[in-house]
Amino acid sequence: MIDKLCDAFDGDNVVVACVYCDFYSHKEQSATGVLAALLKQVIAGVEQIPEEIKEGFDRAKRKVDGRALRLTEIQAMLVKSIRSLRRGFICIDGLDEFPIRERPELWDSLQHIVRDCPSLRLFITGRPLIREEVMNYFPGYPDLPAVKPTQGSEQSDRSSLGGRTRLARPG
Amino acid sequence: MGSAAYQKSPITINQNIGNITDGYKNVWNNCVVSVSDEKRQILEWLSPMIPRERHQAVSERRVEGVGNWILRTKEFENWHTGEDQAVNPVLFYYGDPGVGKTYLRCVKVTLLKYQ
Repeated sequence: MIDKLCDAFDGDNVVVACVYCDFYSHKEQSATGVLAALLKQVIAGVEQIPEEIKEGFDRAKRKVDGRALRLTEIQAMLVKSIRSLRRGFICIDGLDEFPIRERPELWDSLQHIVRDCPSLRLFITGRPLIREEVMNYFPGYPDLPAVKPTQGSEQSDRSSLGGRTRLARPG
Repeated sequence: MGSAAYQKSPITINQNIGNITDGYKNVWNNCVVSVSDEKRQILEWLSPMIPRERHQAVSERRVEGVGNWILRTKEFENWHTGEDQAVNPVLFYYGDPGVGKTYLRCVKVTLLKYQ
């Protein structure tokens, strides 16, 4: 039912692309892998595949050992694709589980994409230990009142609205 | 394969792709390449990730209702409905393990539902 709902709205020039990071996943544990996974979902939701992507695909197909797209290429394609949408949402879950050594590259890319796509919204989840990173890569964003959930049921969640989440705003 | 049979070849529409109305687009070396086929190949080339399988795995682990509170907060509402430059483009939701951060499935549905 949920997937049907998603399909029904995916055609409205709005795309929601999600990536889950976890310690046990091997495929998406690079900035390139995460961005490629996001681009795949965005492209699936647009009617026309950008020519650059088609050309890259054709080049790779012609070669026996055609290279994969580079991070900067994927980033540029992602920006172009998202800008063609009415709304774009990127959700990255468990960013604290993404390898530390790869994180700066991912943060840099996310910075550029958010900056270059005014209609984009970025939703990140993670453990408290990455709060400083969020502030470092999105400087000038105010530390607003937030909601921190408690463990347990929906009822206990409702009672925890006095906690904290954190919103970021461009400086 | 005869031409008649060839013309009747079924079109496979990838479930990940919506609004495919014309499966026959290009004829090349006696092979019909439909839009959906081309798109599917490009998507597979871009990334091996299959989001729906991951969504499913997360959904099965998720306790019903946990985390839904965030969808009713003013911060989330402003973040996903506001379209002007003044709106905060980044929303960071944090918490310790086991508090229900991984419920993007319901977030995704909410985002799509209200657009």
